[in-house]
Amino acid sequence: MNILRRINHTGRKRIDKSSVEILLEGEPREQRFSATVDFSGLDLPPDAPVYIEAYQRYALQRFDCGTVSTFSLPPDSYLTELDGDLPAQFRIKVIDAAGSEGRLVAAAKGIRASNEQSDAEGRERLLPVISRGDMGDVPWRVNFQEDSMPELALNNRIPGCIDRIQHDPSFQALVFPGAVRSVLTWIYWNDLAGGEEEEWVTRWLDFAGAIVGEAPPKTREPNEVAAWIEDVILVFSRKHTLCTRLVEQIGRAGE
Amino acid sequence: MKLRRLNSTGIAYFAKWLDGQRAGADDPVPLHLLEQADFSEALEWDVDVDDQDFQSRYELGQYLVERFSGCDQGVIRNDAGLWTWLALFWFDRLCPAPPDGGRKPFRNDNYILSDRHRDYHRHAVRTTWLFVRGHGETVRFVFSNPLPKRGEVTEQLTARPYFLSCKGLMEAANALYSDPNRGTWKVGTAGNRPGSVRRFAAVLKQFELTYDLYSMGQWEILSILPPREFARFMPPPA
Repeated sequence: MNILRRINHTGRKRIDKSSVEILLEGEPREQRFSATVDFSGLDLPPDAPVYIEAYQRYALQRFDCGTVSTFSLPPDSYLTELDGDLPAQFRIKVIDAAGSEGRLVAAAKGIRASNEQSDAEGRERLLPVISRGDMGDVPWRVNFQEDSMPELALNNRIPGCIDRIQHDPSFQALVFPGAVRSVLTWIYWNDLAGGEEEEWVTRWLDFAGAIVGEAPPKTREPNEVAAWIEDVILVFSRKHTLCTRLVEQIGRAGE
Repeated sequence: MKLRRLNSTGIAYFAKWLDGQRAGADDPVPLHLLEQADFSEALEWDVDVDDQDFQSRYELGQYLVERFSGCDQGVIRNDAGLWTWLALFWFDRLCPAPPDGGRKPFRNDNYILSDRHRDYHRHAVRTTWLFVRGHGETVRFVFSNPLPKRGEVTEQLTARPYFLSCKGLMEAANALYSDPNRGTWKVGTAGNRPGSVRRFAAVLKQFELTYDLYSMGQWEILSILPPREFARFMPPPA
């Protein structure tokens, strides 16, 4: 058996996402952000410089936020370098002030604004949804991005696509099982499970493991991984009665 | 010609044409999409572009940096219709037809700007503009190829969006691999051997977890590379 193992030898500390709150304010093309970071319990040097990077694709904007002990955003936190129509993500970096040049002593990445993609209880969604205008005849796909949570992209030629994925049982039944399969397959295909996982990977594996009642496989063995993923899809679909609701809706439409 | 952007119909038409070329069709480049209102639309800015004979991708990048200086850079950066229009406009230069026919374009995302993170760096025109705009002369060697060629060096240094923001990293790549006498990169830069640009990108991708590459200068970047592996390319100390 091939056990996955990834170890952090660097001493860099992970800033838990729950210690960070980022809020977006303003209209999409004039957005600024506010941020709070709780460094307590990390035992970081008080004079270590802190930076926040807002990024999307090839755009990056960096903000000097003082030090661990004097953390504050600069007065101008407008995201002028980013495309307001695309979701932004954030990294927090704490840099060693005393030792070797540029070494990170703590970091968090792949953070989204908590008021941008949260559910009714304020939890960050596992699969943020966006609509896109450049998908040709592809109805939907899961977009995977470097270092951050995947997103479900819907073709905006589909009328009311965002509303449909939230409320239309047919749409949900035809999209969700495939989307869940895509994400879990991606995680294993890209060797992201095990060891020092991205936080979104941990959340997805916890979610999938809780659904099926069986811990994610700690192996790359394709048959074992594929069987576990199919079990997740099976139980997920049953739990949400996806096919039943699809059949009912088709029946209602035929009446 | 006035620069425009292809709409979704125009992009779909171009994609179908590209697929057809790879399947053996030999119909002409669909240049009518560039100006017909059913397939393209005017931009917010008045920009003229010419069908010039660029000697390298770097020249193309310089040209675009100058042409786009009056545009909102944040808006045009992700405008798939605009970049796809440009690739179509210069298609005969990006993918010239061989004398005996049988034009074989690269994958569509070399010409049609993809929104998939593993593919959007492939766009021949947009990526060239982004890096020349961001780093100027430092990346001349990266884009020293003629327009129809992409190559390993470009692939390795442009595939990771974060690298675009790291001035010292690009200067380190230039110091290691640029060969001013040849007007391109040093022999041995491409490929999979120790010290190659592929290894440079892979090593720094790992160091991204440990170092703030954004704030590091050229010599700080060079100092963290495995010295024996990169000795062959390492410049003499300043």
